[in-house]
Amino acid sequence: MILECKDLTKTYHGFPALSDISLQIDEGHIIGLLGPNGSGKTTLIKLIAGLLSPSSGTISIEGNPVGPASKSLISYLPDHFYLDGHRKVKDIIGFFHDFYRDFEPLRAYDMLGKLNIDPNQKLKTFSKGTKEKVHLILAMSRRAKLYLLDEPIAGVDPAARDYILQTILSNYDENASILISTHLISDIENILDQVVFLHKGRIHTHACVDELRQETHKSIDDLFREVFKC
Amino acid sequence: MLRKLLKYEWRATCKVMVIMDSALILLTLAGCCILHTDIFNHTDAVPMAVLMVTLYALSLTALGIATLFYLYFRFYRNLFTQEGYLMHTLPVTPLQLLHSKLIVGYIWTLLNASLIMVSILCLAFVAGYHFAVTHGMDGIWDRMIKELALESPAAENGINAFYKIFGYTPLEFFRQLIWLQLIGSFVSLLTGYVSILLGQLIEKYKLMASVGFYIALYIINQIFCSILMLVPGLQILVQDTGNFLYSYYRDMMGYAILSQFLVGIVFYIAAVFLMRRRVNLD
Repeated sequence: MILECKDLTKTYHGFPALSDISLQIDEGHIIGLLGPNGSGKTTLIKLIAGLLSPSSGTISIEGNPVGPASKSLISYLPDHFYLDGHRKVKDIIGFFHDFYRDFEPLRAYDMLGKLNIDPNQKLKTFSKGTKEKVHLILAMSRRAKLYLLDEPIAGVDPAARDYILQTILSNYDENASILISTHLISDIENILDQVVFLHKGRIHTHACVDELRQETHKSIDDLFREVFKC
Repeated sequence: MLRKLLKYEWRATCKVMVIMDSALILLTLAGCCILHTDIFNHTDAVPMAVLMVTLYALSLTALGIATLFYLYFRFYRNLFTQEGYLMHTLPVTPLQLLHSKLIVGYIWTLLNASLIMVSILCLAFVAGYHFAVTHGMDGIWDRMIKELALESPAAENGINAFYKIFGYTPLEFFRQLIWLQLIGSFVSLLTGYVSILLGQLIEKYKLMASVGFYIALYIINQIFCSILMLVPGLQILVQDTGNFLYSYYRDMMGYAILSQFLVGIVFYIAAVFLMRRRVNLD
């Protein structure tokens, strides 16, 4: 088992953002973390990445509690830019290569080359879409055990979305798992094999995509709209 | 991993710090050149001299403060804003993050403080030398330079007067000053870091809270230092020593160093404790 969350609760200013989340993820899966705004998707991902501390409950990644050992197994892509824009892409690649043993610079340069992104340019000189691609390339150039991708396709055009999804699919290891949070369900539905619906900080559904489709005779997108109808 | 963190921290701070330290060196060189001319040897040049000395003192102060605040800002931005998402997801311990910032920051603070000290000494030397030469006192100047390096005062040498007032030879005083600078730089840096870490404990307005904590910690440090420096004064009053100033100055530096050493230990323990707490990045 790659990820195990037990009775995870996180409160902000006294209000629960996540309540009693228990979740297990085995290797070799692409899991969609789906839910409306404020359902706790980003909070859950940040807790697993070690950027937030839980109010109660435990998280373990391949048996390791959140810490340096778990962080060496996780490749995390936040929902916003987090790299210093004044640095050149090649310098950032050097930085990742220095700190993550599983980072493969050749793979990163190869992906950059395919997208005609100059590694000698500073990050701040790129458009928003290109910055998103650079961030994704860095995250996917690792041979991590668990990829945490928070809204990886939210701010890019449909063509770029296709590229990003293709990058995710072609770069992840079969022994690894990917947890993707997104609103754009129809775009990623086809690559998911499990979904977790989060509703008001609790797990509403955790099921296999194919089984769910067969049971309900609906696409995941339609099911989502039905479950979270306003 | 600490070595790697140190490497990248050094690289990241190098550009700004080299610019600031170069400005300090240029300021010193310009000051030395101006003082070496006869520009201030006229009575009507006095206002200009006062203005330039004031500007020089303000520039030194500004550069010293700018160095410290840049390092505080770097600590905050790199660990607790967007960049924190990268730093806190690296496979390193929180203490390695703290130590990388502390070691690199300390080197820069110390370098900056040393440059300020050297700058003042250079300007004092050039001004004194120029005055001695233009007033035909070359012999006195040479003798004074030799005597400044003496370990103990003798009845006939010129530093005896300094010793009688302060209880140190100039060389001893300089040594004490270096110790105070070594410990004081560490405390100054930690004051900012601890304030930022304390600010993170507050749920809203973390940066504002950090500023508040900085002011509070600075005042606490000053009060503690002042109380400890009263000790030699009280001892002298009890002993009823004839030469009050001599005895007071002799012990004062030691107590100042001790107070900063104790504050440094407390601040360091606080920083380690606060860094070990689990992070909560908004």
